[in-house]
Amino acid sequence: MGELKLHDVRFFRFMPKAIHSIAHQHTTNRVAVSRSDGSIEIYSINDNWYQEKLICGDAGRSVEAMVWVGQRLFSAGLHGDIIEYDMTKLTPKYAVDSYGGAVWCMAANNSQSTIAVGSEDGCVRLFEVTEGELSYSRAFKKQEERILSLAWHESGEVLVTGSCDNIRVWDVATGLPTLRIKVERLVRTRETIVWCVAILRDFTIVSGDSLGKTRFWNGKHGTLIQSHHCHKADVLSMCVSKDETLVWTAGVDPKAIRFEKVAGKDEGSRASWVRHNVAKRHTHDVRALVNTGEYVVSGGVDMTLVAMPVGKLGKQSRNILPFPQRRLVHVAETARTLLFQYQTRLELWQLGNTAAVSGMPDARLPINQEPVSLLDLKTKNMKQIVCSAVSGCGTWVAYGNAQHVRLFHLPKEEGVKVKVQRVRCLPIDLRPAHHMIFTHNASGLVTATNQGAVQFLRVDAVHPVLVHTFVPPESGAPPTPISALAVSSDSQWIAAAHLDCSVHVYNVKARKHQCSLPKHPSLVSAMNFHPTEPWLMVVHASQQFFEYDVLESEYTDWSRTVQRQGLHQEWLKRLEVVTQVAYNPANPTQILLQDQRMFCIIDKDKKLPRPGSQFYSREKLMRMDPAVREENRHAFAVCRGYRALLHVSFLEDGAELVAVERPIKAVTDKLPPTLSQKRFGT
Amino acid sequence: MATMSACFEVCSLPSSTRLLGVEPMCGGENIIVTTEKSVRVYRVRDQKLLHTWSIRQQGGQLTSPALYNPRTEEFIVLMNKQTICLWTKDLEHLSKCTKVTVKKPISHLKLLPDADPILVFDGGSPWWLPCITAAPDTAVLDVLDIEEELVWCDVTGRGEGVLAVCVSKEVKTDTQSYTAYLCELLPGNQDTPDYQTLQLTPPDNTSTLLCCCLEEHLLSVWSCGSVCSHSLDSSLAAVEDEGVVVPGNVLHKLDLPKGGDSGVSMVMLGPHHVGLAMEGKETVQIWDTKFWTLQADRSLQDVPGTGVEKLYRYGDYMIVARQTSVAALSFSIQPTSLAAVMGKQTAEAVTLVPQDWGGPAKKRRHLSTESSALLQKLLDPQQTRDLPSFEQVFSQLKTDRETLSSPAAVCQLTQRVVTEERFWARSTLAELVETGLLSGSSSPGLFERVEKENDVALWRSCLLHVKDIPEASLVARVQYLLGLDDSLLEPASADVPMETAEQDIPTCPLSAAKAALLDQVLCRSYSGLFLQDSLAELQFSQVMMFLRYLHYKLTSAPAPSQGNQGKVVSVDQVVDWLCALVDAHFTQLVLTPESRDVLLGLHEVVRQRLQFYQGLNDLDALLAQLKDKSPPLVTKKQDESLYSIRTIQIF
Repeated sequence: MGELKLHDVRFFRFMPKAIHSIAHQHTTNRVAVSRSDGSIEIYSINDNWYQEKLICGDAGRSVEAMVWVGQRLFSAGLHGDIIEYDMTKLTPKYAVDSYGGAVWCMAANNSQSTIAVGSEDGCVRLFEVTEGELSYSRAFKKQEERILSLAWHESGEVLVTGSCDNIRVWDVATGLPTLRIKVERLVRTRETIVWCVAILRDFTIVSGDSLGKTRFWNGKHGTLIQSHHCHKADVLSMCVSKDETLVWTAGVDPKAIRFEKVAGKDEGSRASWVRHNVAKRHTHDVRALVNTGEYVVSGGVDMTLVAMPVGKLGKQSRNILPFPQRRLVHVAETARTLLFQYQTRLELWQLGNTAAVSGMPDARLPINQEPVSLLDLKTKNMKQIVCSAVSGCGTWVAYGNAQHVRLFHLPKEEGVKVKVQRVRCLPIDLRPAHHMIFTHNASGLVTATNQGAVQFLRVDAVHPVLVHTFVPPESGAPPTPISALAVSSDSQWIAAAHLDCSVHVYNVKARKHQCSLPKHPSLVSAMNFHPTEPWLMVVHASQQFFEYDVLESEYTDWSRTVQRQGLHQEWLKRLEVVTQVAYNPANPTQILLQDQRMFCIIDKDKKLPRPGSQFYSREKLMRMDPAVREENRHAFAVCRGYRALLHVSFLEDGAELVAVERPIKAVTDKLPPTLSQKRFGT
Repeated sequence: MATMSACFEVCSLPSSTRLLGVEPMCGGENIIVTTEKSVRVYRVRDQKLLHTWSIRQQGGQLTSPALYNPRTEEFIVLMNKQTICLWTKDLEHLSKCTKVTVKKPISHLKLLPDADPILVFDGGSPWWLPCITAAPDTAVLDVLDIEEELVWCDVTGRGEGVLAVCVSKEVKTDTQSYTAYLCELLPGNQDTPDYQTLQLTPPDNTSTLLCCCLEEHLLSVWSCGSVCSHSLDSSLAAVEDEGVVVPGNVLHKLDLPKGGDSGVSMVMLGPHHVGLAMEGKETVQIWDTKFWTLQADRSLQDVPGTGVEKLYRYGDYMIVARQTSVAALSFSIQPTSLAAVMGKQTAEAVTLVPQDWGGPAKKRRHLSTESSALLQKLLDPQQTRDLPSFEQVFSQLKTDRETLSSPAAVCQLTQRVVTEERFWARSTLAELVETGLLSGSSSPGLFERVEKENDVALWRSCLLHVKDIPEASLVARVQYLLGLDDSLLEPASADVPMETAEQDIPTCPLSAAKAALLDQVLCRSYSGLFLQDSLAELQFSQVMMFLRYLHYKLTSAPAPSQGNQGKVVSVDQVVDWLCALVDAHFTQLVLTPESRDVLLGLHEVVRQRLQFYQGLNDLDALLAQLKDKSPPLVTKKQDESLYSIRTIQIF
């Protein structure tokens, strides 16, 4: 296929945030993960752990606990509000005061009609979930210490709370405690904190505390059944399997320990809880642990989300990197600049250059021009950025937060490095955006609004005009957010992929809906248009991809060939979702696909790898004898060796590639120190 | 008895479209999943989507599950009830298929193996598909009355023809009456078929029919929970009459979930078994229809999706159509007997062969009947009484390569040879051992028998080919070797130096051939703990001999390296054996004066070695310093500089 010049960029200093809580939605098998900056990510487990939605956080909002009620998501935190989120706009819908200060824990009862909230003032409060609202119901009797953990019994009549030095069992009907279990202290002056509790159907209470002990209590009499001292430090999180025979605990000591209920040997003897196995998948404190049935999902200070399969041997656990599965890096192909999107600021860099024409394969070329930082743009009031874009010529930069879209003009002037002008008179009808992209000639900005529509803005330094708002065709169902957006290089077509798996293509000139792609059961994770033909390349979270002719409304011949032959098992087996796809502008038969661990260039002219044959990556092919290599090469040129690849794209001439990687080590080096443990010989 | 395997998902369905049905293709290996808008073909084995066709144009809607007619290699589906679409596998768009439009709406498409497809019109009359496609304008008479509504229909083979059974429902004032229309179609018969009617009486007046399935009788489930059997004896039925009233024979009362009026699905699995799924319960059950006992019950909670819409059976699979997914599970049924139902018969260990669904299909090895007969003959001491007959049968068996690659067969044969007291089938055993399929635990007594025959060549071959020899057995081999008469051994080619010039190096206490064999034993993998237990069994004279040999080996064995693992005894293996041996016989060694010189010599060697390693330690410190000072070698993986440009070659 030839040689390409690859720019390895590692100066994007994006810092992901620690995981604070995880909540699982049972009916659709989704997981909501909250991070320390208040942002919430929603992953679809069924769809290859694709990060479907990202709700941006706010500086004044913390998320300590989350609860799903049906499809509705509630969160609460130390700022003292309970918030419901609008799952289409991906913003908070409304906030209800907790009436008790900071909220430490929250849980919904089994019938999902009531949410119990444990707060700083030592009161458990019940909130009624009604249609479109959350209404305060009543409060339990006040206790002295703050409530740090709570759990509902399956019947909904009993509630158990954990706080400093004691565990209380409450009668929900009266709001009075029926039992108080005192947890002993190790040092007389230091209180023991019960970080997590659970109550099982048979009224067994499981608690995890700051002494590192996992204890099983008889919830009727308040007697200790068993105590396991397995953790070296605080037990912060716990989850129970659906059939209540397995309990997992984890905490500051980052081991996840599994306890299994073992029936007694004889008929009459009592079942006991046995420490089963230990998994060490984290390096730092584990703050949240959730059982989804198939997996135990954990997350904490080390930011990685880990899904350990339950009970199935041989199924490997998954690590989901803490980087958003969306575009954080934008490349201006002509101007050779890079736009980095951080949580609350943007950075614009000029790419470096080399004088060398070519060198040894994989050897470094001498750099005669180092990359230069052009611009550092902070958002107002530290508002988090939802999306951003830079035009190909590098003269326009836009970003969107939860409320607004902002547009900046960077006119080129002699002698000045860069000059920024904010374009102030944006049309009133321009909605907040989830995705945005400039057209190829930088005359227009296409945004995906938070109501599932697509807006086309004619860009102008003085007076931008909103040309048209494309609304998806009526389907009866409410509009779903847009997960991917693409615009063709002649600016005639706009494609928008929605979270209900539909893909709509709009004709810009005719200002109408052109066609919709046949629905595939998996979500679209990336798509892009062919540079010259009206072809749309669509990549799904299930690793399938299709090329669709939007003019003829049919799959292209190559796409049919690929589907007929079937993709190679090795390709389908990959865990990461493709987050970006692009055609080589100089040679459109080459398609670039990128996920977080590799990028791959597919050559349409080459033969596809036969199912069952060996699937060689580029690195393996390179080590081969040229004759053998000729025999084994195939259309997929896979370049592995990355651990957190955030972006790969072609520059304008098609002979250069930019790969932006965030080395994991640079991220983990900045984490706080781990629990120091004495190891033999140190 | 019946068993079910765990359920696995074949495909998931978009929630927006309704599933119409699942039909088999190519003998059940593939299934056709039809929704209102699309037809998809999946391979059950690896859940792969093979083909998909979907409707593009507005207003078009599929109304029946698509069928695959293996005779004509065509897919058939109904569109908008009145259009029959026919196409082959290679068609790319459904819009280009062959279409036949009829005047009256068609309700069902049915297909029996080795017969043409059958159409059942809304009016209740069944027709052969070729008749209709040949002449779409054929006048079709309605069988049902106007008030009647077709609720269920199925076909079954009867003699040469096909019996189509349609059940219709007529809503009268506060009661419902159900009528079954039986219609026999003969192949090639193009006339309007005759029909017979049977009046089905519900078990009580208020209950409605939930589902039916067809065998010799018509099994039906009613909303009151009753399972009824209606006889379909055609002699009872009157031709074109009011219909003979057939009382339902209530077989069983099912415990239906309260309030569920619709969701029961039933499928025939065998002559006396049905698969049953109820709405509200996430399980699939197998019931025995003879005694109405629950035979097996399998939860569907592991599979995504909710509810059970319908059950299908193809071959050994039950296909479960759920609201958002299609799942499959394999089942097996055995004929029921009263004894089994009463729990008197001890259930034979019925295990389903676990299949690896993810990977490529495993080929299960089946011995041909001929080979298994030969194998039986070989295993039966009565049938092969002497060596010639045994070897003759074995040479016949050898022609089937499959047999000697089946571990079970090889193990059984080895057992037979080893335990056979009357003759010694050496050549057979040698061949069996050389297959490499034997392991130490699966062939007890093998070494003992070979040792008894004093066959050193075979013994050596066994040591080479038998896998995973337990430690106790290894020690027994050492014991045998130490006690072995040297005359039995042919002089080995192994170059063990017998005498060395230097004084302080001990000489080899064993003959070269014996030493070579012993080395082979020492090379085998072991665990030190088990070794020690077993070594305690050695007699003291053997211990001394062995100790001397190990002492010698310690001075001459090469240091451990990765290359020659398992071929040459390395120092650490010798040390392990030595430690275990000394540990096992420590007291005796200390107390016995004659062991003193060996132990002292051993200590001297160990001391020298320690000195040597201390020297290495110093060298290591020196080299480590050097490494710290020199700049690290930059490789691609470690390259963590912030920016670099390199050329990559794409192949």
